[in-house]
Amino acid sequence: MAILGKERFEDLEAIHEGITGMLEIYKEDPASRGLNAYFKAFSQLVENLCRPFDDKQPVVWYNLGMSPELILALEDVHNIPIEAYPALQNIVGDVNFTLDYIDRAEAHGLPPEVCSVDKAGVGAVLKGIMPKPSCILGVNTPCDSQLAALPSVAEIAEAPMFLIDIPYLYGEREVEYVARQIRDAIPFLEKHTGRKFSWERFREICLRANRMSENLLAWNEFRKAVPCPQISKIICLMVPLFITFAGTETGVVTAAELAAEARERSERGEAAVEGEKIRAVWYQDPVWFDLQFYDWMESELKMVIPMDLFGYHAPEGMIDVSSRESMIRGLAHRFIRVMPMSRQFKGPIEWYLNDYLTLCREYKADFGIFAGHVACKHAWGGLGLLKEKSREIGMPLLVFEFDMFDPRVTPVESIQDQITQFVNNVVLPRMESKK
Amino acid sequence: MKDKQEILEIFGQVISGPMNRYVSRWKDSGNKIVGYYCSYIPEELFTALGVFPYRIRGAGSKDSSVADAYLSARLCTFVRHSLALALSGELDFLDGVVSLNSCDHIRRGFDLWKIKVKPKFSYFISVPRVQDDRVLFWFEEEMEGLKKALEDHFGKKVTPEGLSSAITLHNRARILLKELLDLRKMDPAPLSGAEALTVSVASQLIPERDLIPLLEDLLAGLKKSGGGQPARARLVVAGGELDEPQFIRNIEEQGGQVVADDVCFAIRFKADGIIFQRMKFCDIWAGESHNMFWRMKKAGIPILVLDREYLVPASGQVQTRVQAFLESMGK
Amino acid sequence: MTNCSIPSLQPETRNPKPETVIVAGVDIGSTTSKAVILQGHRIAGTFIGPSSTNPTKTAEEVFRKALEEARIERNEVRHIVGTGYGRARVAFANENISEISCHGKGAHFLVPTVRTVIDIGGQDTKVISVDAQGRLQDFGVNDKCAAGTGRFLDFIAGSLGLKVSDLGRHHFETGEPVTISHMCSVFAESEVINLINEGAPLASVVKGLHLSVASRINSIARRVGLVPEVVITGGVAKNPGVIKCLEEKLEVELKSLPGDFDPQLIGALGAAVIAAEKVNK
Ligand SMILES: Nc1ncnc2c1ncn2[C@@H]1O[C@H](COP(=O)(O)OP(=O)(O)OP(=O)(O)O)[C@@H](O)[C@H]1O
Ligand code: SF4
Ligand SMILES: [Mg+2]
Repeated sequence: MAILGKERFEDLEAIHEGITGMLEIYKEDPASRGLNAYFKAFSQLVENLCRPFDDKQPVVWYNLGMSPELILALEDVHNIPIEAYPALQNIVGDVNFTLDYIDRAEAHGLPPEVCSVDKAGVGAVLKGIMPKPSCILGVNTPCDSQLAALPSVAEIAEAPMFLIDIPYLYGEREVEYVARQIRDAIPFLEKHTGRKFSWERFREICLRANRMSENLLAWNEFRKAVPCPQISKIICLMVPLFITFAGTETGVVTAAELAAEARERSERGEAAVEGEKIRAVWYQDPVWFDLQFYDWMESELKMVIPMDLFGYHAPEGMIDVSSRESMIRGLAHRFIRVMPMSRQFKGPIEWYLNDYLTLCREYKADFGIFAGHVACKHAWGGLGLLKEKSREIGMPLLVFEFDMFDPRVTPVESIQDQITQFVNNVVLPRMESKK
Repeated sequence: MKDKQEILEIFGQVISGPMNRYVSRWKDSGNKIVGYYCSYIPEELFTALGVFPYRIRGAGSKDSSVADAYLSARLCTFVRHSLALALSGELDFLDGVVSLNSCDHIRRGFDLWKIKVKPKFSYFISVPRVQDDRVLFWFEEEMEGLKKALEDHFGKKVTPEGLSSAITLHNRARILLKELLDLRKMDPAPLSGAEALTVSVASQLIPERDLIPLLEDLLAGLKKSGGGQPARARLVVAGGELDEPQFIRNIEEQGGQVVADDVCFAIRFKADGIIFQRMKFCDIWAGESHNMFWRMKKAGIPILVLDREYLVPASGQVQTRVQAFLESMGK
Repeated sequence: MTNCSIPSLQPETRNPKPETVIVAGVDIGSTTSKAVILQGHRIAGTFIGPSSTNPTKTAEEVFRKALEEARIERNEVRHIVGTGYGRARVAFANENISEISCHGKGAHFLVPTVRTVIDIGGQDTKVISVDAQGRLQDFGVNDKCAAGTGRFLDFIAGSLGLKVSDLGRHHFETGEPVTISHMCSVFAESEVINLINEGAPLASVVKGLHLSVASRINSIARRVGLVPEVVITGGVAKNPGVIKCLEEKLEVELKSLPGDFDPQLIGALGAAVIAAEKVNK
């Protein structure tokens, strides 16, 4: 590995160490094919975060509401999702750094109720640890928090920004609207990076994006098996993978590995949880600040999460590569209807409720979990209707409050406590009586 | 002719709750009324169809718990109170509702309107949440959609004549309102900030035919009576939607006079400082408050950022902050 | 509190005959009420008592007690400034000024080189930046409930059966600090009780509490910016454990007040200083 610049920052060191450690643990383990693939991909993301310091190629920042296909079509440009740094730090690095980013953003004037993911992004930018961007491309989804963070980021980084508006509904007219904006973004990207957009390259990217999606769809399918063949925590890592690697070979390979592992295990009749007792759909943000939580849940409660809101890959994402026009429109479909969270939240509440019902049915859930990330207003705002729906279909719903990045809001022990109580007092008795 | 006190009292009553005497008179004579959220709505379109566009607020709500049961306690209190009114039937006088995609909170509120309140007519405008001319066309298309939906529902067409007389009517009211608010450029200003806000909020709740004479009387009266008390400091209150004169009153009680409610006017109105107010939980104005804070800091303009909640009077802490802010300006 | 005179700090720019002027500052805080009588540059009398639901009466009492200590008659006092939460209820005051300005002025009176004052009171924590004349420039106030305030410490100390004044002593006993993950006092309380039940040493828990207070204050301080000298005021400044943690967190040395002056009185002192400025103008 060349001198990546990671030595320059203790922050990056922490992430690098975390990932190297994970790879050490999992690489010899034949039963961890999926996790291995993830950590390899993430270690590449670490390199991506370093490389611009050395090769001085232009950098484009973008936000978690979109995938990078368009940016990748510019030759020799680095695509860096703003939230990647704090997310990696939180998942595999040192949570204390993430908390420091959050505190920096608050100290700089972002109100506490803004999503911690976005605050952490702003804090990382304030700390000056991300390679400076030539420009920023953003979409104004999934939530208002993006609209708080993005302009702040642009102002702090003093970088020009192009924002794509994602409309309320999803139809022909809306797709055309977003497609038009994506088209407008191309000259913007070219101008500020000084790099040419290559349609030929874009086509290859779209093809790879499709292959990744095929693998993700297959993967989702394999996880429907009872018992669930693959561990729970693997599902919630899909979001950073998709946001960073859609359209790349890494994306294709990682998704293929995830699917292959799930397939092989289910063919061999292997279960993620020996003696699986309970299945739950986790319908909100994961506990990223402590992934071991999922291990605890599986061994302690014999409970598995076959699917969650972050891992569910929607079928509307296949890009028709027959023409320039159709590719751009394909990307528009992705932005409106595939990106997790954007898909469920920025339209009418039915979209959110319907996906929940689908997941509960198809993944044979015994109950649902509304893991209420404190800042996720559009989720909290739909909670009453979600509860009503749950009652209607007779599906118990556990609701708790926490912050996916910040254990200071609800420590993991308290989350464990609430799940244990609910399982013992509501879910298990109900399953007993149904037998 | 009514005098200033009398008119301000009427306006004060009008804004204190959902129903007011002009609305009930309007309804009694068999007219239609449609409620809307936020200020992007083209009022003329409604007027051209003989419908009164009424601004939905939360004033008069005692308790938001009926709405909180659906929306939780994590949404902005303005949306929660307005939905509390709607869910408890206090907005049943509306013949329809028009909402828009201005924020996550309002969007979730609209779900409840449709699913629980079920007005006879409802429409949602996907307003672009990007400030750029390149998406203006989309806004225009959305307005076309609204027009068509209104026409279909009320079984009438917007005619060129109807539209032009509606424009004339609204322009008349707007000019009067602007003249009134511009009186605050005078130092001392004849209208306090709280009074000015009362007038502009009330003007969105009174049909134009009744509103215009009231504004005319008020303007004439004020022009005659001239300035009020000299203020300790002239302040601009900026930030998100604000329809509560009480909030301004709490600031003015500390001796500052609120002379404008838009930062662009700070210079024109010779303001000494800016108070940026934001509703707790509101993200849309969170980023704005962050950027405004640093811009003003750089420009050397005193700025104070305050969070507030709907229908909650300023706490002691807020009063202390405002007073200290005035003191820090050497006032 | 004994009379406390700080002659070495008399600024030269004052009125020719300020020694004779008698003024007072009365600080009705959310938790305690304070009064300071200033005669010229000499602090002639002080008093601290608990705040009550009747701020007007409390103000009367602390003022009277401070006058008694100073052996000064009420009618000798030329100007009185009220401050603190109850400032508008100090019926006998000539005017009221926010405690934010007063803490700045009071700290500046004792430490003329001060540029940042951190006032940690019962309910609010304020970070105050002042200019060379001690005039208020900018400030930040805690907005996250009781976290990072005296009330937080009062509450937890109470449930541990301790007095807040003992927290400082326990801090310096042996034990590695624990992490208190909750910012909310209600949750932090049960967390603390759990820790104690699990056998964590008291010193460790106390250190953990002080660290959590310090980190909340740090985030307000960062927003305002810390220009030295930095002085800590308010009742919590009497807790050496908090001071220690703050120095670590803020990475600055905190300037202590001369003559062991009670930091809890700084707001009332500042009010008196402002009163003197009014008279001498
Ligand atoms: N001897 C002591 N040691 C440690 N802490 C103390 C001591 N005495 C008081 N305190 C703390 O000081 C706090 C009160 O401080 P202070 O009198 O400055 O508050 P206040 O002015 O009433 O409040 P505010 O400024 O927020 O309105 C108490 O809550 C207590 O925690
Ligand atoms: S104040 Fe903010 S959150 Fe509330 S309705 Fe307005 S934009 Fe939405
Ligand atoms: Mg105090």
